[in-house]
Amino acid sequence: MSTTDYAPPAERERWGSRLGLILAMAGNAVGLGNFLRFPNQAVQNGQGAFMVAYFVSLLLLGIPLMWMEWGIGRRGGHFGFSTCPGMFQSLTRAKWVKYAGAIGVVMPLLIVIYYVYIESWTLGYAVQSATGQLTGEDPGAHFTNYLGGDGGFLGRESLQGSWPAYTFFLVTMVVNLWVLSRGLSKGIEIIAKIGMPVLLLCAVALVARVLTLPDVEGRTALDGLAIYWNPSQWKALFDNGLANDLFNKGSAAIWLAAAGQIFFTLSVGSGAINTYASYLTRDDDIALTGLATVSTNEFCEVVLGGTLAIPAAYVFTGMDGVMSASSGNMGLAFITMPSVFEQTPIFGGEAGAGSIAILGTLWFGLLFVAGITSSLALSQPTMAFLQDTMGLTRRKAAMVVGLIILLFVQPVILMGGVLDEIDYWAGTFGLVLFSTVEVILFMWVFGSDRAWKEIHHGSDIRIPRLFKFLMTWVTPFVLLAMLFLWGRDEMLPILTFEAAPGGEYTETTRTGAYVGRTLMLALFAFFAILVGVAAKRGRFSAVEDLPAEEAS
Amino acid sequence: MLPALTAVLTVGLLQDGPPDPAMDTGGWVFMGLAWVTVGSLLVWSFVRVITGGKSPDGEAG
Repeated sequence: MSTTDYAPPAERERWGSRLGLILAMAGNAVGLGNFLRFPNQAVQNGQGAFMVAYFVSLLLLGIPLMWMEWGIGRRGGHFGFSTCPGMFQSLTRAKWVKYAGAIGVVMPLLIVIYYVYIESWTLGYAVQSATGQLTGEDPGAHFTNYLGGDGGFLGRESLQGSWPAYTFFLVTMVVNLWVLSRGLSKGIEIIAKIGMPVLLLCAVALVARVLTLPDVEGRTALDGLAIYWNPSQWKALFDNGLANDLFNKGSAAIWLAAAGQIFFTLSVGSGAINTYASYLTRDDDIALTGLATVSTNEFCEVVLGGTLAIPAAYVFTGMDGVMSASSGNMGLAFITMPSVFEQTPIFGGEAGAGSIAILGTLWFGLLFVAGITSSLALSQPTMAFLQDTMGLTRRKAAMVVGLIILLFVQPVILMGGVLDEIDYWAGTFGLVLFSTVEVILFMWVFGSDRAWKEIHHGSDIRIPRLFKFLMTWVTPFVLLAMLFLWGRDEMLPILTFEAAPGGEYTETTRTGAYVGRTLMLALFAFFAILVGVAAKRGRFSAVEDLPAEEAS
Repeated sequence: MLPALTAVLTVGLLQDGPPDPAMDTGGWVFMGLAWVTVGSLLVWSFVRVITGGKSPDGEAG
């Protein structure tokens, strides 16, 4: 039986245009990670040395994985599957892979649960910037008051101060669900077509202002750029000890941080790319289109993201301020940047209320747009699973997604430590684990020759053959090495709650970690059961014998 | 581009000591290479997407 005997269901959704697809895929990749996580990671993990490791990781891991996920996704879509359980089943006869594929549905959902919450902070801060509520405020105190501090809302003496954050979260969630319920071409694609140009305009305007900042005590924005680009610390890449007191990072930590950033920024390993690619037709190009989305993401990260927060913070706070601001997850965006904006003159006038209103709105508006295009992409695998595999209508699927988010986000909002725990397992470790499963399935089990042909079917460009070697041997080897290092150094203390990822637990965050892990396991069990139910109904039977038939 | 990258890598690896407070020559070259590469890839891929056109056989090279 040839692959052409399997006709995709007639009612499958499709992208409206190629540009819309690229912008939606780029919107998926360009997110908070480009403007917040990237500068933090670069500054805290070797700076110039980080950038070398970053580009090597992009070449060896990011780009190969991206093409593989596009290939797996388009192939799955051809057989009527938009999520990984069905996609994986179409690659091998092994029945268990559909359950491994459930990770590709659960993980983006877990990420979106806390991502939408963080996204709502950016909306809240954009509105508060525009309405002057940030003017004259102590940014640190304002941020702590907004979120309730380390203990979450339950850590407050009174819940009364929680309503702005909660209201903005509800608004953000409703906007996300409304777009999702409109479908691919009338919802997600339209948001991407509007949002991406707006995002670029906001970013370019802010970059222009940052690069023309006046000197402060002899510090310039260009000196801030030197933090990323000066090669004076590159020896740290090959140093097994500590580079020096300032950086305090050994070479393995730098390489792992850079690889982690590549996963996060390109959204590989989450299942979201697979789902978006599944809405392509069989003969659509993926090689060039995938490269266009990677280059858009890298432009937004390396050129725009790298030129915003850190250089601006350096001018006003110096190196000590930059190191301190980048040490937390969100301090740079929500504490340092409002303070920087308040001191930044605009339009040749004085710094103050006007500057924070304009620059703050641009900055937090930019983050909100970056966030929503990513949260839509992260929600789509669950939407697609509920529609394609469980037979729900789009509206019902959106309601179920909304219900799950609303239910599971409560502990994230109310308790400290839950967000970080889910972020570690779903947004960091899980990406590496799931990528490893994907690359082994696609390149080794399905076969590198067939995978290479699959990626090139209908392609507009020929990918250099070097990438076939990278995809077959180097990428899996690097991923397995990362998992080995994790197993050797971190697995036991983290699994037994002896150490928190990247630090220590407090009493509050340890409780949050217990809750976070329980929620994650419960959600995975729920979706694994749904996959089992769908299998019993024969949803996967059409592709269960396909790999062997194709090979014969 | 490769010779420039090799040169900047070599210079970088030979350097030692605390980071310079200001952008040095190696920093300018590294940043220039990165920005030009990323920018060129962006422009090239979008021009190819807009102008379209499949490869003659659509098969792997």
